[in-house]
Amino acid sequence: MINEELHVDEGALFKLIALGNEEAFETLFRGFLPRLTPFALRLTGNEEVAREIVQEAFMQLWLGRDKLEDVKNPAGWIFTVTARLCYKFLRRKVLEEAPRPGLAGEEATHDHYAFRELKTLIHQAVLNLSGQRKTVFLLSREEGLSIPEIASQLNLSSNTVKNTLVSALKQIREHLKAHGYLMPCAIFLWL
Amino acid sequence: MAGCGTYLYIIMKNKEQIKELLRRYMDGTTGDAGQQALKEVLADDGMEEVVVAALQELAAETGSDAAAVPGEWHGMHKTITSVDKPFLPRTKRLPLFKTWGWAAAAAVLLAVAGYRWLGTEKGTQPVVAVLPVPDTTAISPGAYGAVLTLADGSTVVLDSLGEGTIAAQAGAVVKLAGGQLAYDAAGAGGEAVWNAMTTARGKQFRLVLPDGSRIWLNAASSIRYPTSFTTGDRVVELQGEAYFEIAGNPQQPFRVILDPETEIQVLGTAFNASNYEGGGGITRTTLVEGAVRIRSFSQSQTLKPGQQALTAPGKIQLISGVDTEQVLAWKNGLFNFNGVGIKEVMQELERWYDIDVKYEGAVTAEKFRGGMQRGLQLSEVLESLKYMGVKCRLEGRTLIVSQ
Repeated sequence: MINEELHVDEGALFKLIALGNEEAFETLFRGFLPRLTPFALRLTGNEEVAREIVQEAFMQLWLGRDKLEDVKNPAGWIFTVTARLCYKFLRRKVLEEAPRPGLAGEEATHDHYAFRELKTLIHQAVLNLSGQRKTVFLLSREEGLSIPEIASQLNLSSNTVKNTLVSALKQIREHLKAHGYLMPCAIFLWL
Repeated sequence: MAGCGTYLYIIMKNKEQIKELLRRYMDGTTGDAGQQALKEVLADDGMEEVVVAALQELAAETGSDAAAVPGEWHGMHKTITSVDKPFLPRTKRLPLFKTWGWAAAAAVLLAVAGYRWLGTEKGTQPVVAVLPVPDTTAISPGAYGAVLTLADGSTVVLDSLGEGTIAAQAGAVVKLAGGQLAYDAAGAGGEAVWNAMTTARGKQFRLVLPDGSRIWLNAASSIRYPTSFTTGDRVVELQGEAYFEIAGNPQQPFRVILDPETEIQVLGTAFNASNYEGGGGITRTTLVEGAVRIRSFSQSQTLKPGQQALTAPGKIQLISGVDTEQVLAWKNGLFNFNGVGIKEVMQELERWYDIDVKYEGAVTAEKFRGGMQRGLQLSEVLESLKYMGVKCRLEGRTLIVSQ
């Protein structure tokens, strides 16, 4: 019973998450949350900032999920994403130095807006998808259908649906990048 | 001290030493020299990979501790997976409607000009055979036409289709009659399925929803709706511009979703809303009569007739005394350019004549007065513009405006 999450096959979870499976994402999240949190809290010494780092790590995992299938070392992957975000934080904190009053509150508000903006950007990107990509993506994300379900509904092969979802996610990330939301590409080269 | 910094800088290229430095930083025992060393390491871009590797190892080495996780973090995964769910959950009920049982039959006008979002549809539009245009000045105005996307993802081009039944889905029958598309949900049962109507540039179309509500869809627009309104709120999603006449039904409030965080709640009403390209996601809703409520992010505002609400992320601004006739002009076959700048004029022409507009040099900041019929040939429109002092020339379907 103790630490049952740790016995889950992370590679299998990554494969499921790559297919957009939210339950697999939740399982992975529950497994890694207690592993990332103590470090993030210790490094930042600030619960709000630590939350931002942890949330952003999982956000990047979710938005880059189509690339997870080939990740050989999922735990290493997650810790590296987290380490990169911690590095960004440290640079900001140590180099800028000047104490920022009310940091936690400000960051929280900023983060709140950042999430809304991110969501709006993604929404725009989805609307910009071409016919089939949009249909498939909406069936996946809005109706919560699995790849085989989408395939049978649209009379396509599962492979086509999967490839379409990968292209859709790629296009969404490109849209985000074009609007200044940076996915740390280096992470994906690290595999 | 400077010498000390240089010395530390050299030795800190070692990952183990950086780890030790970071450990001391986390324990708060860095000291002045350690702080200086940390600064130099972080300021050196060439050291990034080593520092990241050190942080990664430290993170992996730090033990797991479920008790350290703040309680409210446990739902974080839901926030994350909601980020790419395009719209609000359809089942979401807004309790405020329950007290507004007086909502009567209402006419609603909406214009959301979200061209940034609509460019997409262009790629999927079947090319409709129109008369060839050998003379580039003979660009015709828009006409009736649209593409219907059925629940199974198949599409039907409505431009030149004969009258009659088009499809039956989940018991709801969709028919083309009198130049408009109408749904009959009398036989509908079970889960409603979703359809979408999309107009290209230069096209408009009319639609009757299963509840009898009527919608005029302007050019370069798209509306998504269920084929029957069985239970709960009547929710549709709009991108672009539309005029609504909503059938009153206090038991099933009507909502129009404009973006993931902005919706119009119809209380019995006539209004107009728009969302211009390059406006950074600003929506514009103008109430003609009755009442609507705008909900955007966590705020909401109820509009009075003649008021316009502008929303941007986190902000709603009200403007009073708006010329509603101007806002409704497109639906009445007119362009109304009173008080409008050249770029807005050109945006309208782009949508209606399916042209692209480019600018040479600075354009005039002057506002226009007057209006035009939407049935004019582009050449006639350009003549009027030239008469008003706007220099422009056509190259293919690109209009070049110079000043």
